[in-house]
This record gives sequence, structure tokens and C-alpha cells, in this order.
Amino acid sequence: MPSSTENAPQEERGGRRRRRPVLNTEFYFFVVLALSLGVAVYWIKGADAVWKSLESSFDLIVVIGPLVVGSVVFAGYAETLLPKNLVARWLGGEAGFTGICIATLAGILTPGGPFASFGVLIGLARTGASFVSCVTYLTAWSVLGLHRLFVWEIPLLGLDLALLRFTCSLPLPFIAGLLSHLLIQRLGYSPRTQP
Amino acid sequence: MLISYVIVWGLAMALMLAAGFSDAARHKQSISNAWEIGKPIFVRLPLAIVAASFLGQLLPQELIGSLLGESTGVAGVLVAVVIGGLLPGGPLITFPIVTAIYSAGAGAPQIVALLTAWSIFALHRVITFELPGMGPRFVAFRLIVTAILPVLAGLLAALLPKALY
Repeated sequence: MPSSTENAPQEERGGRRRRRPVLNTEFYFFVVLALSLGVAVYWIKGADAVWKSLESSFDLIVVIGPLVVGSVVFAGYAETLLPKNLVARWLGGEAGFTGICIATLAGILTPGGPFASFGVLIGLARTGASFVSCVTYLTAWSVLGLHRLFVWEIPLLGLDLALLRFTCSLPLPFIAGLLSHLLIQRLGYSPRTQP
Repeated sequence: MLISYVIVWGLAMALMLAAGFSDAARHKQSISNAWEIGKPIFVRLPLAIVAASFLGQLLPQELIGSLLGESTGVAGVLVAVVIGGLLPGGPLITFPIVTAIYSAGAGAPQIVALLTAWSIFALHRVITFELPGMGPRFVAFRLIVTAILPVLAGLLAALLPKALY
């Protein structure tokens, strides 16, 4: 494919982006998955159980919908606003151990559940953060995120169990960062994080 | 939940303000980025939620709890990792299931492994955000790299002296 499809007017940002179709095989796979689970519930527990699931799902979608819109707007703005050279320097391919530390800290501090963290992650990936940084960030957010600890774990599981889980997870983002670094070194190939 | 709204929309608003009032092209570009990122997410989210809710109904919580007792040791930790990786849904769906499993007799290291596996593998997050936002190759590589982590967390929890928790 010749790259002459690049059209200049949209400043230097972006250019042409390789688009993935919205309704692809993966999407239909999940449709089939949801349907077959529904049939299983119907079989084992009856129509009432199916209805209950659909009802609570609808409630959840209504609650979560605005959050998803917010996170997507955040990611869209992050992509245009984040200073590419800074991201590339501190979280890009050459950032090394410093990059891992920064990504870990960012993951711990990102508030607001998956909605905020994915906005940040997609924004960072699109402005030049490396595979290592993205994996480290996601791991740190998912196992050490203060948001989840305070909002969910301490109230629901109790302080002891929540702190035990947190303590045992402290080394994980660093291990994830090092392992992903080793993996891409071994393979000599890094999965594309930028579109 | 209110906190989440405030945080997410607060962050989005802050960036909108940072984009300034004069530069309309910048806002246009940002919104079109957002639309492009959001489209695949919007069609998958309802599916993932419904599937998770069904799966939650099918999980035998009592049985899982009794399978993961403190005495099951390393084997229990490994089983917990597998179950945790399959746990459906975000915190609203999963935490009630996990508390049920815990009170049905699961041990603390096993619960640590289960929760960590759920956090890291996060089927619901992979379906709704990660696949559409980052691409299948990123997801595959990330899962390979992080597969060992929940096992480590569970083993670490088993090694810590009980007096600590």
C-alpha cells in the first residue's frame, strides 16, 4: 500500500489510521458466547433467571454508560494533548527501568476504575508509550490501584485480606515490566501500541 | 459509584479545558479520536455485561469455596488462578461472588490468587476495552507475560506468616 493516502491538512498528528471494522469476527464470537450462556442459564435455572440477568445487566449498562463515554472522551483528548516527545522519552522504547517505575506509579495513582485507566492507557499508547510501559501500567493499575483497594476491597473483604492481597501484589508490576522487556528482546519484535 | 462519575468526567473536563477555547480544530480532532476509540467499545459493552451476568448465575459458588480451602496449598492456588481468570464482570458483579466464595471456606492465599488473577486477566476488560482499544496482538503478548503473576502473589501470601493477617 503506498503511503500517499496521507493527507496533510490535519497537522502532523495522526495521518491515516489503520481501522479495524467494528463488527468483526471477534464481535460475533462474543455474540455467540452471550447467547449460549443465556441458553445454558435458561436450561439449568429457567426463564426467570434469564430475565433477572437481563434486568440487572440493563441497570448496570445504564449506570456504566456515562462512565464509558467519559473515558472515551478523555482518551480522545489525551491523544491530541499529551506531549508526544515527553511520552516517548519517559515511557517509550528507550525508557528502561525508569519507564517501568513511572508506569507503575501512574497505574497506582490512576483513579476511577477501568474507565479512567483505559482512557489513560489508550491515550499513552497512541502517543508513543512502549509495549513494556503499557503492560506495566495496566498491571500496576489492576493489582495495586488505590481506587479498587479503597472503594471495593477494604469495605467488602475487610482490611486484613485487602492488605494481604495488596502486599503480595507489590512486586508484580515490576516483574511484568521485566518479563515483557525480556520477551520483546528475545523475539526482537514488539507488538504495535500505536495505530 | 458517584465518585467514579466525578473522577472520570472531571478528568475529561479537565482535558477539554486544557485544550483551550480558541482552537476549534483541536476539539474536533479530539472528539473524532474519541468516536473512533469508542465505537467498538460501545457495541461490546452490553454483550460483555450480559454474558458476565449469565456466567455469574452458572458459577457454583459454594462448591468453589469448599474446593479452595486453606489446606489445598499450592494446588488450591493454581486452581484459584484458573477460576479467577474466568470470573466474569467488573467489580460490581465479581466482588459479591468472591465474598460468597470466601465465606464458603476458601483460604486467604487462595483468595489472593483468585483476586489477582481476576484483576490481571480480566476477561470483561479484555472484551470491552483492551481488544478494541489495543488490538489482539497486544492482548496476547500481555497475557503471556503476566500469566505467572497471580501464582506468585498466591504463593507469597501462603509464605507470609499467618500472624500478619
